[in-house]
Amino acid sequence: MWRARLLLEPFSAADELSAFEQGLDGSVGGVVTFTGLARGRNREGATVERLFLQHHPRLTQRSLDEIARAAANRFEVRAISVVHRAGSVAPGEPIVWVAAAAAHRRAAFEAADYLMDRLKTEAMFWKREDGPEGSAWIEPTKGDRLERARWE
Amino acid sequence: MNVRLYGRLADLLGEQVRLDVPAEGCSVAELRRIVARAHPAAATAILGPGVRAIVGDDVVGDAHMVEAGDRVEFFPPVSGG
Repeated sequence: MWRARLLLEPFSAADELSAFEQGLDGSVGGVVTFTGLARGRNREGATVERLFLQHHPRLTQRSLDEIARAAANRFEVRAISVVHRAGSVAPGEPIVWVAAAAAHRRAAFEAADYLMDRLKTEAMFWKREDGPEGSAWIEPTKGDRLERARWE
Repeated sequence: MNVRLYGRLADLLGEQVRLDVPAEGCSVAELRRIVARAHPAAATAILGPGVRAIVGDDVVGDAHMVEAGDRVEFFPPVSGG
């Protein structure tokens, strides 16, 4: 069972976790979650006032679906959930939330790790940092790509 | 043909550009050159190696043929989430 949702409005990671856990059955022995938050400073230390995530009206959802489905197929998990923001995100707000539920912890940890490495490099978004000095489009870092390559 | 753009390509060209394409259609590579000729300031960006095209709902390569009625979009490398 997997689910991926693209949201244009802020969401609560706590509410997502509560809803996710309510959908689990007695075979689940552990849940791993990760919440990615918008930072108020970029890698160079400059202030970021807003993070803008542009998405494609059809292919972004498809990219999230493909990544969630792949995680569900690859690991011994009972449930996968991905929630991803698009649009204008303020520092401190969640951008992404993933959850993996499994009978045993290792599969849940690995699935969450895999989901994030693929989302960080392959999810179909174009990200722009808006700050007092102007705006800049950003791309995955070499580190992001190396993390993604661990799963090949 | 109206072509939609994403990311930094939209900064350079606007979210949409109108292009005249040959009646017999053309390849995606030729369409990129048409954009470059019509908008020289964006030529380097649109001809760059990381730029990909979407036709309909599919990401396609430079050899893909497009016709006047196709829905075509260009995008720079994705940022990831």
